[in-house]
Amino acid sequence: MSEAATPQPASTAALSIKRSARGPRFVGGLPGPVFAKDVWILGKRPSTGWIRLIYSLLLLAIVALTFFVAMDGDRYTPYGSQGIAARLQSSQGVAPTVTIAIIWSQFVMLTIIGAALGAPAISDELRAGSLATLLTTPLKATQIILGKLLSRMVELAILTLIPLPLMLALRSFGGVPAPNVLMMVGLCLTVGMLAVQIGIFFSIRFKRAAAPLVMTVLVLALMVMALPGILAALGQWPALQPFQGQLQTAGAILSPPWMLMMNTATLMNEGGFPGMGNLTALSLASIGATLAWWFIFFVLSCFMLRRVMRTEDRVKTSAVALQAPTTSSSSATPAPQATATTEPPAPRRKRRAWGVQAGSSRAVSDAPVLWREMQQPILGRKWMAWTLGVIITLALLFVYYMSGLDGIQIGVAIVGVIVWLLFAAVTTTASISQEREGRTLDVLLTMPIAGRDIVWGKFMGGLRKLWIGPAVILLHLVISGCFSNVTRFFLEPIDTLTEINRWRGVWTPDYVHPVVLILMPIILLGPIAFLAASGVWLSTITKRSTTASICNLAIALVIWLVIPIFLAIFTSGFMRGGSEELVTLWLMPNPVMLTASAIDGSDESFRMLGEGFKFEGPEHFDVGFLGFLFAVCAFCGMYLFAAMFFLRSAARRIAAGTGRSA
Amino acid sequence: MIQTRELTKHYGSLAALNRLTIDIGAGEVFGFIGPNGAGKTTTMKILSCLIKPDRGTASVAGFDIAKDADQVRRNIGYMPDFLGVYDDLTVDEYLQFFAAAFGITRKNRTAIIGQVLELTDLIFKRHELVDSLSRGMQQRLGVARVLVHDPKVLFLDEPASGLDPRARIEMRSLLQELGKMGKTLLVSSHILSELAEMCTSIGIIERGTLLYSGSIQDAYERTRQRSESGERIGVTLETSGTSASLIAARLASDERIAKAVGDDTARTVVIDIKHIAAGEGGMSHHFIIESIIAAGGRIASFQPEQVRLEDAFLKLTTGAVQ
Ligand SMILES: Nc1ncnc2c1ncn2[C@@H]1O[C@H](COP(=O)(O)OP(=O)(O)OP(=O)(O)O)[C@@H](O)[C@H]1O
Ligand SMILES: [Mg+2]
Repeated sequence: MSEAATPQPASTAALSIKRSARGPRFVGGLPGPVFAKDVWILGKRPSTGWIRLIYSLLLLAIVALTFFVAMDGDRYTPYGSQGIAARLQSSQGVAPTVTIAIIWSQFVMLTIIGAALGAPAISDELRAGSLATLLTTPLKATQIILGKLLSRMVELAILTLIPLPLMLALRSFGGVPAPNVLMMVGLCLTVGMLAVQIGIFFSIRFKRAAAPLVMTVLVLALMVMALPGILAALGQWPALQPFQGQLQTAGAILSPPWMLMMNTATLMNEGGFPGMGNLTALSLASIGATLAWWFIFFVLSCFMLRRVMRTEDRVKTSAVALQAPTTSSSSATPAPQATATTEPPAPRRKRRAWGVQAGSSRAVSDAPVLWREMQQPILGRKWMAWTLGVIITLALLFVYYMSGLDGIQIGVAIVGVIVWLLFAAVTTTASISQEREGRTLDVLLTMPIAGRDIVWGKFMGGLRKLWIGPAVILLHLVISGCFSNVTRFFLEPIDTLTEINRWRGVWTPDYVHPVVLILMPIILLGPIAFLAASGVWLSTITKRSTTASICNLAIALVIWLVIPIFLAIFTSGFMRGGSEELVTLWLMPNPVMLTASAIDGSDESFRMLGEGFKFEGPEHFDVGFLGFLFAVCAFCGMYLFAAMFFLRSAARRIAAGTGRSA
Repeated sequence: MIQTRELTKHYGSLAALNRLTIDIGAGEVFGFIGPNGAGKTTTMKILSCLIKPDRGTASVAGFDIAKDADQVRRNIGYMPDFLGVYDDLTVDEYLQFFAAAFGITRKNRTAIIGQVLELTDLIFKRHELVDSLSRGMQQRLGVARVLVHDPKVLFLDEPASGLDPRARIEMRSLLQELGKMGKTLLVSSHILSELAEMCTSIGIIERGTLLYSGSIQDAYERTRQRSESGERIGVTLETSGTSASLIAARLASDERIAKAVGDDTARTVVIDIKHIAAGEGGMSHHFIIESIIAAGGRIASFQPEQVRLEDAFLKLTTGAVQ
């Protein structure tokens, strides 16, 4: 491509024209037009502005609170009230605390935002029909993917830089070692980048953005949490005992959150992790490992996109072949064969999920919107459902085996609940916006269907997809319950007490009582229905389903995580000596806490089903089984009521403007 | 059947519709013509109760769009310009879906769907996935869909867009058939000739303003009156007779003829008749044939060209707005 090598001036001119026509270029012209276009589009999108604003506000709030608490907390330390000098000295702890608060919030937010930015990258183009156009350009798959990635990285970089002035200002409070901070920010950014890439990867195969978003979050969670866990657990294996240290180190390197934790511990002067080596080197290795993962997904994405390109090509060439004869012979007498040429290329027969055969049709019920939602596959493709099922089963078995089931029931159940709430938060967020994007909404709205029928169909469809999570959690409780009870009863040395208890049918600690199987569905129904409903509601408001997904996740996070944390901070800060009941009160309907309370309570004492149940939190509220059952039902009702509220509002929004009944 | 009074719709400062008033009688096939951005889709959306007008009223099938939206919906079928389909359903399921939405009982559905598929020539695709249909078939499926509940009024937004010439002709005959079935059709298009054959009347709209509404014949007439020359006739001569240039010279002297140009090599004469001559009865060509024969020419072919529809369209649209 060197111009000096081309002798003729004419071709040099042509070359330079070609180059200037290519639009903005990067080094070596790699990202090219896709990058420029996407940076432009992303910058223009209102949701980008909102994301930046909310992100900044959240960071600011977290910083302010942490700062306040860190300073305030000092007042209560023994030397806290000893004048300015002492306080300033003690406030040296403030800088690391706030820095760490920033970095951890950044980590969580950048990961989620990264996934949300990457997940619609290709599917948006596919749905808008512009992917085909993009694929007809001489752009390579790598260029497209890289353009998509880098344009989103610009956004992530902007978000990363936002708190930088703050962090610099914090330096005036004293020692935050720069390498640590750099490493941690680097970890955040690379994980964000990985999230974008995984999002892009999944967005190639999906038409809608919600599925890639969930898949990305899950895969990331698996990679950064399950993998190190497995490695650490493998270290316990007798055969691998000698390599335990190395395995643990490898696990830490493969897990950026773990790495962040180690950096956090160092910053807080709690001492590092002896025997793990130099932290900076480890952090660098972790960044490297994340980049390696990124590269793997990058290559996979390019590979997938190239496959899509190839099938597009086939469709295109057959379309061209089809057009040629019909346009030229339009004035000629239509020969009987002409009918054959106007036939489209043999229709791609799509595989239907769950073995519904193409070539036959199902009967549609009298509530069509609901019916269609009910027909939708729960997990896209069949193989995906199976793979996920196998992975979950294996993971559970592995966990059971490794833990020997000691105190594992609650942990696994809680992880399940959290994962499933994440799912619930994004499942229905596409319901209306998807119809809008697919240009089917107009037609749907010319039907004499009430707004509530549409909304109800979408909502129930979402709920139907969501039954499987609670089912897995229940299955876990059943299996682990049986497992632990059986081992306790038969395999352990039977002392007299257990013997007696066994005959009296009394359950001893660490057992799971069947009554949990009744409690859990009630506990989960409320929040899941609530999130499904707010998702439908959000999808009537936002134009893009990704925005709705993020908003719904934010709703869940705020209600169940942010508010309790703030309450805890405030109550500890302002109402010292006062009660912390407010926090506990707010945490009561929290599904995670309810799950813990339910399993814990059923586990502790079951003599009369009357004791043991208490609400967790800074304060304990002992209620007993009936009280607990009542509370659980009441909370469920509360959530359902809120869900109804959202649904009605959504129905009203649909009805407004089209003059239909809500 | 369809009445609008002063319908107005603004998008920001842009007037997408400006005091649109049309009357379309029962059984009419009304062609709604206008360039891009004229406001055709906006009108159809308002009439199908998808968006609300800023001002003005309209009624469809006797029901007010503001007050009786649900009744309007039961009586209309709207096919949008960009057709979205549910890719996870088969043709049969897709139609069932909408039949169910209109409250058609399960028992009746099969028969109805069979009929509309027969009419739209899609019966052989009945159990294929909607996604696998070609563009033209999807378009026809869109027509089948609006027929499921047997509405009195159909709004079809550019039903022929994206179709190949053959499919266009098929679509046209399908719409003609619907007209014969007594339905009131409002069909939009930018292409006048596409509508000419099947419409009983047309409306021409540009930048939200209705420029013309009436029969298609009237529209031609108006264009003709606006144009300087009337009809144009192409004549091809046999080799044995008088040369083309001589005949052209002879014809040019006639005061009813504006211009005659002969081409000796191609043996053709192109004659423009003054529109006064063409005006009465429209087709007074006999004197031309007579004078050609009198001049010793032997006519191989004689082809009056119609006023080109696109010309008419252009003249009617740009003419009035400026
Ligand atoms: N949702 C909208 N927001 C803003 N402007 C709009 C919107 N919908 C339509 N318009 C504007 O209203 C005008 C009329 O649009 P409309 O879609 O009715 O035109 P049309 O006659 O259907 O054109 P076409 O032949 O291209 O389909 C256009 O200028 C368009 O830009
Ligand atoms: Mg239009």
